[in-house]
Amino acid sequence: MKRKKKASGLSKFRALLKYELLWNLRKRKFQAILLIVVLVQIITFIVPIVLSSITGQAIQQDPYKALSSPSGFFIFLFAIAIGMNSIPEEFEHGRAHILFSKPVSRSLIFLAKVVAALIILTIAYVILYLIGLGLSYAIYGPQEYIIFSPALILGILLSTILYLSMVFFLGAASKSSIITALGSFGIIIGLGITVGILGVFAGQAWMADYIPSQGQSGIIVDDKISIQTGTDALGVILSQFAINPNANVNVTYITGIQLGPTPTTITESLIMPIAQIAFRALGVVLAYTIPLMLGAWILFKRTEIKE
Amino acid sequence: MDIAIEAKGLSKSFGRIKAVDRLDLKVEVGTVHGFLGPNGAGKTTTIKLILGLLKPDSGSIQVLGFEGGGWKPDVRSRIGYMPELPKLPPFLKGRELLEIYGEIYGLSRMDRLNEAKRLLELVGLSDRANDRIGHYSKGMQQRLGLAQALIGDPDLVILDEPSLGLDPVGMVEVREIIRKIASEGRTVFLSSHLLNEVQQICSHATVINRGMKIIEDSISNLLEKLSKHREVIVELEKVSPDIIKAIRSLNFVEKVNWVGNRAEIFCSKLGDFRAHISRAISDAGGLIIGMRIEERSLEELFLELIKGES
Repeated sequence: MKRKKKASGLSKFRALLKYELLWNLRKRKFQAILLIVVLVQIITFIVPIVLSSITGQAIQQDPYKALSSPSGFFIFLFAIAIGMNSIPEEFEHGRAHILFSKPVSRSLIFLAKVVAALIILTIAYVILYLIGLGLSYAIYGPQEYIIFSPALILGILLSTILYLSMVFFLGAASKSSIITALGSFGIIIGLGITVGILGVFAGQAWMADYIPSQGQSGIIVDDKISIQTGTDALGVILSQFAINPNANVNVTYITGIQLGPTPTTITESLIMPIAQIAFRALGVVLAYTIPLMLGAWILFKRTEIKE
Repeated sequence: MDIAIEAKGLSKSFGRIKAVDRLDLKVEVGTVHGFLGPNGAGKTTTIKLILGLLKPDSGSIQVLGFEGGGWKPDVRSRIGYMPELPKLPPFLKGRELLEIYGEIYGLSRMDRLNEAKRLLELVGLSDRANDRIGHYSKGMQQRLGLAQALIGDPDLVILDEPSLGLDPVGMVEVREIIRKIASEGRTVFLSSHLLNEVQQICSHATVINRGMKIIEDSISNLLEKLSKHREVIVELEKVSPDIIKAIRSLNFVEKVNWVGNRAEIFCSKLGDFRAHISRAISDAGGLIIGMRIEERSLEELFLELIKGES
């Protein structure tokens, strides 16, 4: 039998990456979420203008405004939009039969899925950042430390990778888009509620810094810039850390609730170096991402096509 | 003779269900090998085991001389596969799909373009090359599924129900394509429930039921072996007791059915007995208007085999 020329790993990876990128970019779900996020980003800048015109108060200059978005639930939505179909749909729609019969290892297919998701997220975040930057200039005046914007985008990407790894893991384990999406929402909301209750009623507010969340609220002591301490805010944390690695943050922990006719929260304040907050958030992201991604990869590799 | 696929004692269960049960299979290089069996017989599971999409519980499998079947990407680089009712990515255009798969097989950009063009022409989709697959009809997706199985110049082409979902014209065209693939020296292994199709295009066949092999041979040998008896139809000018007696006295005659002046003679032995029958009828004073051997189709044999197994 005749021997064929062997394809290089790079050639196979390029082909798989193209397959994944075209899939994601042509997906209506992704296009819709990107559009919504862009609109929300624009609206968050327009609202202060509207309020200012109603109240007659001038909008204050904010040189850090461009380095403050996006974060929180948007990140999770992006991860869901990109990741929920990436693995399950191959099985649900029977496409894995052909893809897995091609001369390419499943590890390479998995890697292409992860890299494609990261490329798309990077493009989406750069677009969002540029929109935010333009609007910040127009509304909040000249922006400072734009040179540190890569730290912001890197941080947002890392925050998203955490959610993405969870979505990939659930996708590889369940092979169902619905279970992946609902499971991810369930875990995030469930964790948030559990840790919130433990924080308020058991004085364990510190736990919010160790789950995928916004964490605690704080203010950078010298610059009076608002900052969150959780993994969702890693973009802002890393950019502020890059601007001033020696900064301190006054972090407010809600440790209890005073019940009565007008319930009030009991808070505690703690001054923490921003370096500690940054490395902790980074550590938490890696602590979740590495085992979840490894688990997703192993499950994907071992999958049998039974249907 | 080189062996393209060889399975020995192959077994695979899903829970309590034994999908493939100690299956032995041998597909020779350069043949068009049909894989027959009723629904749920284990055909698709066997194909998935060959391709490495499933792991066997026990037994061994060799594909193109490599142990373990298609688990290794290097082995899969020499196999083209079209699943039953192929599900292709709807977000890609037909041409894009073939180009992407071509790149996986290491084709240069120019080769990819040429190969995509050639294959789209082969399956009659040139005019829809730049349409999204999601806009293709089932039949068109089936044709594209066949085209993608031929990317990378495979030595072995595995087709799972290649005619499923096609209209009669499409079926004929697909058969022509399969013949063309085979004429290029490739081994074709195809599962089909269309026995007529297998009889028309395959040189060899394996029949399985309940995950077990029932028989495996060349199509001509299968027909020969499985014909327990031949049926000879004789039209007579008129029937007389002497003629009836003369036919019954022939030692190879098992049974005779009379329908008017027509005799349906079932022979217990293989062979062409027309001369013997003709002489016996003439000697008894009869006049033969017409005589023919009623050939049994693979379908009848298949049904008989499956019935026997059940």
